[in-house]
Amino acid sequence: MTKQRLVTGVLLFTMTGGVLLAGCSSKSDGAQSGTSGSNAEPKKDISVSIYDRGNVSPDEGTIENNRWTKWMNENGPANVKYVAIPRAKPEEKINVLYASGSAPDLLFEYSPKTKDTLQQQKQFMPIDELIDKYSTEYKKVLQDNPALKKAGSKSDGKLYYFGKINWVEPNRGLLIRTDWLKKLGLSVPQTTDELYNVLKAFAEQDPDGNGKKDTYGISLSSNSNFSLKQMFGATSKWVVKNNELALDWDRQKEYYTFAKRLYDEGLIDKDFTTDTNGAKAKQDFITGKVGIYGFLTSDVVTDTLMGTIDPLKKNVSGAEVAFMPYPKSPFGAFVPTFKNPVQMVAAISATAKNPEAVVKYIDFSLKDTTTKALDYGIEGTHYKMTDGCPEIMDAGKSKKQVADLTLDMRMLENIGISYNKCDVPMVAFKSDPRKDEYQNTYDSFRSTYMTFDRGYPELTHSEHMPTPPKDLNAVETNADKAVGDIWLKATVSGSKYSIEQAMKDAQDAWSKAGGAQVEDWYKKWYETDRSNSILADDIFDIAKKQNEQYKKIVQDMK
Amino acid sequence: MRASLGEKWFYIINNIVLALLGLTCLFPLINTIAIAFSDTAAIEAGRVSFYPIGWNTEAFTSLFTGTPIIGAFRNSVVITVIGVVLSMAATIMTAYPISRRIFYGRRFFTLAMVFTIMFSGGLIPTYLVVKSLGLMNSYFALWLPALVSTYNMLVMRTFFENIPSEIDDASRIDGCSELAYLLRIVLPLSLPVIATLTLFYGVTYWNTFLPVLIYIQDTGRFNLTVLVQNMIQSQNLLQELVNSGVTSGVQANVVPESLKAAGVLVIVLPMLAVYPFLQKFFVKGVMLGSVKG
Repeated sequence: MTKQRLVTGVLLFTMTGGVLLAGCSSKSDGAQSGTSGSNAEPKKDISVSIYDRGNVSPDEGTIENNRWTKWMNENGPANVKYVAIPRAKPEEKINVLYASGSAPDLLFEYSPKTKDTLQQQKQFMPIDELIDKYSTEYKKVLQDNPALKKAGSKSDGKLYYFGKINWVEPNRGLLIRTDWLKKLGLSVPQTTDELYNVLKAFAEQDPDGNGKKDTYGISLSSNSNFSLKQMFGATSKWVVKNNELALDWDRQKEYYTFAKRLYDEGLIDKDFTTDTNGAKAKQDFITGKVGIYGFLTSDVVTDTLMGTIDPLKKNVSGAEVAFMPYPKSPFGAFVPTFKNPVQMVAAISATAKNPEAVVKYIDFSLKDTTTKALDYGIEGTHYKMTDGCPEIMDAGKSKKQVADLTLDMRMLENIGISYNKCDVPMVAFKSDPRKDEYQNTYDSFRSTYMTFDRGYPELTHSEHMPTPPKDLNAVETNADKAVGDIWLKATVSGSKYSIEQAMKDAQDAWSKAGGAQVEDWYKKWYETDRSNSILADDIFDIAKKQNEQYKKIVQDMK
Repeated sequence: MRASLGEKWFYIINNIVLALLGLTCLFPLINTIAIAFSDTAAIEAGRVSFYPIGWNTEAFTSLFTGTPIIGAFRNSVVITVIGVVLSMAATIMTAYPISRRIFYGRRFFTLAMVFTIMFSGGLIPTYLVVKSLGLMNSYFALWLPALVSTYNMLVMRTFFENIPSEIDDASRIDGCSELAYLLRIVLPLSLPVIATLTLFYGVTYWNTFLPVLIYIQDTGRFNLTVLVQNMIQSQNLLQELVNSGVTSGVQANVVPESLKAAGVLVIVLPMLAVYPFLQKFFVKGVMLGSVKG
């Protein structure tokens, strides 16, 4: 009897305690939403994906649970559960999540192929109405930048992707050793024929003056090869002829003829096929063995200047380099490819239970106060304001506590819109003694390659090429590989295998692999969806506008 | 018999050639060690080959303070140790019955298991099963689906079958039960195969990648392979870092070559250290003399 009473007592006590606790927690919830926003309704639960790059310091927690995820939850409009997607193999994790019905409500992913495949499987919901009803910030960006709508809509005419406007800069370029040119009495090559002569001289006339024939003109691997190919407009297999999309063979032929000649005459390192990631090519350039180097750059100052030019000058005294515009080919003069001006990065999953909360989260992440905090951290702790611009106080601390954690929360930031005087290298690096050099490098890079009287080497930025349905996609991949193998064989086989023969074999291989249906699909896409797609002209338009903006910012600073 | 002069020369040359071949397997490892301790500039210029140039331990400092590698190392050890114990226990308990001739239906059971070598459920069905069993985000998702490797089990079964039946008879006469026979006679006689399979399982668990990537959601529970792969991959994805607002943050995210090498070393070394200790179990001739005529 006493035992039973005791149990009841305990039970009662627990229940009252529970009620009390619940009362407390709901009170504090109310207080929180009161401070954070206009509406008193409770925050809803959503899940958002975030890349895990394995670089979070152990003191900071994990990528899905750290000071900034907490910050987003405290200040933002929703209770966000972050789902880590390993950066190493995002598509595998993403596919598994979607296939098993445990997709995050808001998916962030750069790769158009991964997103398009999911979209074709109806895994995303259309977002036009959601934006109309619930969004203010993104709606405004969308209205000001119709390109975002164009790029985010799919063939059914509905909008599926959230995107951002990037700051357009050239994505690639060529560095040439001007001290070698001077020594050999040559000038920067203007055409591909002149380029051949320069490469020949670099390889044969001992430009480094060590008495040995141990230098090369350029490399045929990775990015150098890519730039070389881009000069001939041959990086994409499509060209527009008479307003119709067509498969191109002429440019390929011209380019491989050029490459074969370089190979046969020993003007390049013949081991290029083993240098798959271009590390050897870079190494040869920074140790002064190669005269021209094609690069892919994320940021010309921190990546190219500090990562390539500085090491070169350290290794080879007296080395001088300049950015070299693409020489004119028989198919015209081209600019290198630009960074994608309108990049699609996010979509709402069809399974999302609170899509309006997702839209509000996106709006919150686009607010000026949010982007500033995610960019620079907390004022006074991570940065201070000098001359109206934020200045990072301790680079190491800021990387650990801010950049490493927030980098992939900022995927929707519109750098192309917000670009201002604080982002110009001279200001961004104002306490660095080399800031003028940085500024000059940046300006020279822009003025060399942002020349709009030239052609764009591809139909559009590769991220804006459409994704064919899965089976055609496989056919295309296989056909491309077969054709590529034949060209490679022709390049390295000397007189045994001529380019003419290779082209014939390549065409055969293409049609044998079922290339015709791929051609048809792309042709049809170009016919019907051309006006709804971001093509080279749109890229140029945005680039031109931003270029004017940049000139004005620099003007105002003087 | 003494070797003739020709034979002597043959052995000398043979040994040298084989030693060189053996060394070529070591070179990549030596190169990785050298890179891990070298100066970034020297690495980029390609001057590092077999010994560190510009001695530098910064890669390890930033590896241990800047990345969650210690936690990942702990996770790897947990996954491997518990995984090996579970797998070995299950493998022995599977291999023993089907090695016994008196076991009814052993042919059927053996074939049923061999069947799984040829056909598997595929990634997504397996994922769904794991998910509905409530194993998500738990290491049991790594241990249970791959508990018994059929191949390893068959190797063990064959080894058990080769134990002379006279030993069985003798122990029975001495009054040994089935369990005691397994524990006191079969297992001690099977040390070589147990050591080998422990190593097989150990290496598999230590290197496990895809299951961790897919089943484990909490990044704090990742193992070394996933962590290091993530770090390496981040560097290859420079292009997307482009648009991050803070310019200074961009370069900061690039993982230097030496850091990669240091990460690889942390993965490789423990396994390398374990090998010599297991070596002594690979003793031949354990069976010799166990049957006296």
